[in-house]
Amino acid sequence: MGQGAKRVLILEDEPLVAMLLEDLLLEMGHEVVGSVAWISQAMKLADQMDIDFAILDINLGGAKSFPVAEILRRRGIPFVFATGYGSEGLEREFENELILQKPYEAHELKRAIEQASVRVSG
Amino acid sequence: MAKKSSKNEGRSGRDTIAKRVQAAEHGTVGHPSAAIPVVGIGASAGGIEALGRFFDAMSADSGCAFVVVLHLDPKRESEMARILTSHTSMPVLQVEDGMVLAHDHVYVIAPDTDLKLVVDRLKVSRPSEPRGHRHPVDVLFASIARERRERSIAIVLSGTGSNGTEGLKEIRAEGGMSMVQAPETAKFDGMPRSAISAGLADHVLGPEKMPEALLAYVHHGYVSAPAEVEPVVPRGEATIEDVLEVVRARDGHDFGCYKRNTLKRRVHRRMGLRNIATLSDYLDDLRINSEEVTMLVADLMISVTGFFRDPEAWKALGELVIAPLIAQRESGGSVRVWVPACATGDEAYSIAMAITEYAEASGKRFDLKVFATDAQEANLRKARDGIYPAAALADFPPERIRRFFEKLDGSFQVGKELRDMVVFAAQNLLRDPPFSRLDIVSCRNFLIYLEHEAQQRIIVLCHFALRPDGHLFLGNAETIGRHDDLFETVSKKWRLYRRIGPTRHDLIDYRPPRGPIGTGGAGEPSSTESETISAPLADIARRALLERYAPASVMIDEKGRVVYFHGTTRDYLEQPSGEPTRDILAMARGGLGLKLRGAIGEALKGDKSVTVQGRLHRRGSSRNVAMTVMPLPSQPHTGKFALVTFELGGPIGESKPSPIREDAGETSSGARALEEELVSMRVELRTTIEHLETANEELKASNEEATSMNEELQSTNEELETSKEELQSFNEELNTVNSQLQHKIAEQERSTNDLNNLLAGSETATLFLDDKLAINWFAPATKELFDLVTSDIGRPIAHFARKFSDDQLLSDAETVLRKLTTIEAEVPSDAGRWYLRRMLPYRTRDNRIAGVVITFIDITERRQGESAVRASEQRLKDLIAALPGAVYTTDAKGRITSYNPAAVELWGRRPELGTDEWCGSWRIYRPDGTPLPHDECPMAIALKENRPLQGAEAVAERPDGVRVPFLAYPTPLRDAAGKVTGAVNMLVDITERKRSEELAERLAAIVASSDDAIISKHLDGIVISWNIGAERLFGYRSDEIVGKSIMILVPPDRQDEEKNILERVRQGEHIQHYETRRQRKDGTMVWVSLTLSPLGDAQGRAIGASTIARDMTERRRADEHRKIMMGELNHRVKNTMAVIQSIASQTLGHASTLDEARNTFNARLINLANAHDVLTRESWQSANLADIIADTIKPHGGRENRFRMEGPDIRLTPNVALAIAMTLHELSTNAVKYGALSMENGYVEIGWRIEGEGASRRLVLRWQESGGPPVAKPSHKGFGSRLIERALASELGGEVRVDYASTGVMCTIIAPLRTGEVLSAT
Repeated sequence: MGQGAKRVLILEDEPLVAMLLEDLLLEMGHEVVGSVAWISQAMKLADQMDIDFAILDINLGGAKSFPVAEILRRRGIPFVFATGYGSEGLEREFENELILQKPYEAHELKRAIEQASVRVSG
Repeated sequence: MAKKSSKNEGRSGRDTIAKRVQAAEHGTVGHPSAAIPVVGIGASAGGIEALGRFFDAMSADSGCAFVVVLHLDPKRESEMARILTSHTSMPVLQVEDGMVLAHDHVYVIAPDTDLKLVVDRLKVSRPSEPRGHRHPVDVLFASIARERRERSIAIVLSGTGSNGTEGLKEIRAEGGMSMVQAPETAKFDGMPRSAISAGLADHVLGPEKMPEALLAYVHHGYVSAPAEVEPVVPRGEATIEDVLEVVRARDGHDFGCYKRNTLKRRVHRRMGLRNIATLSDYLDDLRINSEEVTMLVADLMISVTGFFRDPEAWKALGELVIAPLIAQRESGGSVRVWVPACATGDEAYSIAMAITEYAEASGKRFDLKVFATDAQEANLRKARDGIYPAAALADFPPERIRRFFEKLDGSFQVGKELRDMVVFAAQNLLRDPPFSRLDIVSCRNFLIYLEHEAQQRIIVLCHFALRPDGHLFLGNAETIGRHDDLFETVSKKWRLYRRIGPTRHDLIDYRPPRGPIGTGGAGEPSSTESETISAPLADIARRALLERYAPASVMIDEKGRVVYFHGTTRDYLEQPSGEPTRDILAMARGGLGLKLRGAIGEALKGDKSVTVQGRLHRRGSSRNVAMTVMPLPSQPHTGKFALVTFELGGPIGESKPSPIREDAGETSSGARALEEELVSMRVELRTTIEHLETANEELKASNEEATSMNEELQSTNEELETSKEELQSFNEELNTVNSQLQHKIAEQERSTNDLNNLLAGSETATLFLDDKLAINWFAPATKELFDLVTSDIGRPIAHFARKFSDDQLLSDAETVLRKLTTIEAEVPSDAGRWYLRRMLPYRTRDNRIAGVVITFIDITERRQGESAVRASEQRLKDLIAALPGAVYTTDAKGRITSYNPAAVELWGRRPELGTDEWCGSWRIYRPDGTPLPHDECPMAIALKENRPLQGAEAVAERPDGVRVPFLAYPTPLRDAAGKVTGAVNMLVDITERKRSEELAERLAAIVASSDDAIISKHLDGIVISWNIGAERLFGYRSDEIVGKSIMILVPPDRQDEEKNILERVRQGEHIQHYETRRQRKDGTMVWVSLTLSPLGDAQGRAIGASTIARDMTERRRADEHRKIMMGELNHRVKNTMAVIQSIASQTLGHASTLDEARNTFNARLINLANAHDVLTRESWQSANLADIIADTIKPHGGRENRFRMEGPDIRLTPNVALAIAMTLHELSTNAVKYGALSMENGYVEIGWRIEGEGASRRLVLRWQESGGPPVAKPSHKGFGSRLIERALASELGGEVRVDYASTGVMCTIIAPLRTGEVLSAT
């Protein structure tokens, strides 16, 4: 696992969901370097932190997490959106990004991380 | 003196001033951190602002420690420390017990505590006084003064009441500095004013000016190096003596006897306050600045006083001195007390109260005089006013305050009775003669400031002033010193002494004032000087003679106790072993005692001189001793005394003849004659000396009498002054009354003149008759009716011929006198004129009937006009009665005076003439149907506003219920002068017109108010009418489209459709709910549903169409919305599913059994569902915190509710609400399983509140369990704790503390509520 261990940033405003996500990631051997609920915090971390991967909730108390996605894209950091909406909830710019439909299972999460990482590096 | 006081050091008595003075004089510095000056700051209402201004200006490196005391709400935590932090860079701490003071720190009192400085620690205690009576500032100041002396600085800021004033006294007495906020800068000036008026403010400044003065003071040598009070003075430099000299010259006060160290310290303090570095500079300042001299004198004389200071000493005084005095003295006798150096009089009043209380307790009354004296006139003024702050009376029982004081705003004034007992007078104890024949002298805490020699002088003075067995009461650190022969100790501990022995004039030394006094003290300095010099010379001479020639003698009292030794008595008297004695018989050497006893007995009994020969055995030889006992003239109060002289004779057993006889042969007769002469001279001299002594004694006695007389005169003078003042004020009053009377007389004269002029000038014949019907006075016009001249006054009216026919005149006058009524009659005069004769009783001001007043008024013209008017009125009435319209008239007040039959028809009733007002209707309504009061009907308006109305509309209701709408035309009627005399009104029935109007209006209203567009048009499409609904729907105003074609609304692609519709209507068809699109004025399209009906003319032909168009946009938009809602619902459900997934995962992962997992999972889901319920109720916008909490804890509360909730209404966003719900659920579950709710009596308190403003606004929620089993911190974090921290800490960006206190779990949640975020919807 050690080789595939990633430093993951979580943006999720539902604490229980965040807890579950953290547990899943830890079980997979990843390291959660940030788990935040506010877009402003997430932007700061996305911009400054050493991150390998990010999982973003789209709708955070009415605000959308796309600004964070933009920063991540600029830095070339892979990420997935996790949302209760389907892909129609995405802005056009992010239409092609990977989406985790809530609720999701561990293997779905695992696959999403792998796919996103491949996409960016490839 | 020094030894005595050092003994006291161990005692923790309240008054240890002497001790402290002592310590200061020795220059001892008790502890290392004493070097930090301590600034005590007291404030109350309005103080926070002042503190802010002070600390803004205060530098952070002053080296001082600041202690702030405020009145804080005892039930709330204080934010003071936080507030002050923003004003200073010094660390600000809330005081905890035992804190050690550090420099450049600020300490703030905690709520509901008292603060004291003990050595260098702050001691916190519970306040002993109930709330409202506390004086925490006084407590603090007093403790700082005690510990820091000159390094104590006290600041009094804004506040009400007098807190701080008492404390400042201590600060000043210890040599510290006081600063008081200038009252005009303080929000509340009670505390500053109290301090200033007590004369305790060294500086009065605005808060921002204080730091400068503070630093100057702290850096001055007085504070920074107090040990070197007076550095070695180089030659030619100024000394303290120079300062005293200037003071004496300029102010007249001589401080020569005061202790040098005290003086130096206080002078130095003044220099510190004035920021003057050297004594020479200060001396220069003193010479030119008389104000400073006054301030210095006031400072030098500072003494601390207070009511019943040292209560135990006062208790002792009461029990040991006052009680026996009261018991011995008979009721009605006089009791005299002297309180020298009384300062502001507290002690004088105390002693007066104590004696009065004791006297009343034993049912006696005395003429109590307390003489209270002080050298400072300012002190005396304050003392005479007798106004003290409430704090000074803090320890008094309420009865004492009621008995002796009157409340005066925030302070108390000594009652008149007590003030009358105490006589205040200026007297300098060191300079002026004392009072005399006193029962008690209370001279406390004054001696400690004096040099030893001066102390002793005052003790002697007190001895003189007291009557035998009178008592002296000294301060705790004072003693009678070496004069234990003058006083016997009553209580050593409480310094109570009783006078013994006779008056000792020899010890009294009236000091003449030293040198000339600046303020006109001495009258003839030259003559006084010569006397003062000669007196001691005579004394010296006398003393020398006595030493040389007088035999060894002792003076004894009638009990044989020695009171005075003279010459060498050791040959005859010696102290036996054992306790010292003064019994002369016990002291007499062997062989003398027996003889002496007999001689004393005989002398006293016979009141004559007795001489006996005794024999003195010494070293084997015996010698004769002649002992003479001479009774002295007895004096009042002193008892009897006797003088015992011893004269040594030759040795016995030597057979030698006497030397004189042996030498007789050789000695010349001249020498013998000289010797004899010497003997006789000696006798003569003795007699002269005795005479002198007696005379001297008498002089002193009369001097004593004169002194006391003088003092009596002074008090009489004072009384006379008072009565003089009373007389003056009485005189003043009389003057006022007199001028008032004069004023009244002038007024009366004027009104008499007015009346005379009025009556004389009037045309009315007026006649005043007295009660005998004789003429009192008549107006000139009366002469036309009677033949009267002025001289006829006083004659009966019956004697005069009348020029009119009136048989009733006299009988009417008598009737008026008898029945006190008014009688009127019309009488014709002989000249053919008519008069109204009016007769009324003449009443005086006290309502007595003194006669009759008769007036005659000419009414001839009136009588003539009346008949013409009557005729024309009749014509008018007939006319009106014949009119078909309703007509009626009223008088000027609106009372109906007439009406015609048509009016009765309209009203349906007949109004009562002269009673019914304004309108004859039964009821009136406004056109809109609301009741119209009669006095607001058109007629009333016309009369009140004095204008005619044209066609005012109203509705009359008949008694049978029929309502008649009418138009009114009221017109006011005026007389020739334009004055309104009444009004006429015509009413027009408009029932028919009204009915048709209403119908039309109703229809129009329906059309106008409809939300639908209602349009009527011709069959060719020209619009006829256009309602508001159409305006709203299509955007055209009525005037923009009426008269134009409806085709404007039809989009080009539907032109045919409209034509088709119009054609169908022409055929008479009704068209319903035709959905189509139309174009608005702004070009946008709108979906409408059309309903059309043909409009027919009277013959039934269709001539137009009415169109109703309904807007369909809303319905279509609702459909769209529903679709979006479905999507949102899907999102929310999925999110919730994710949450449930997480709960399931967490629950299953942590549970030990499947059963437990199921239960926990169920409970958590139900909790989640409940929270959703609350949110759903509020449409997922926000939720009330109280609802969330109530729903969460409901399942855990048990039968009786064991939760106590308290907090304001707060609305939270759904996220926060859910997080708090889940958190509380976990806490509750935990409490039921392991915590407070697992025990029978356990309960949980949940409290929340909002704190802070703006960006720092936050929710603080506290969960507190009580009454449960002891709590231990759990070994690992369960789901609950993890959730709490996750959900609340990171999620809300707040702070969560879970405290496993042994008394119960306590959880504090602090969540910031950011504006704009708190109520945003998810």
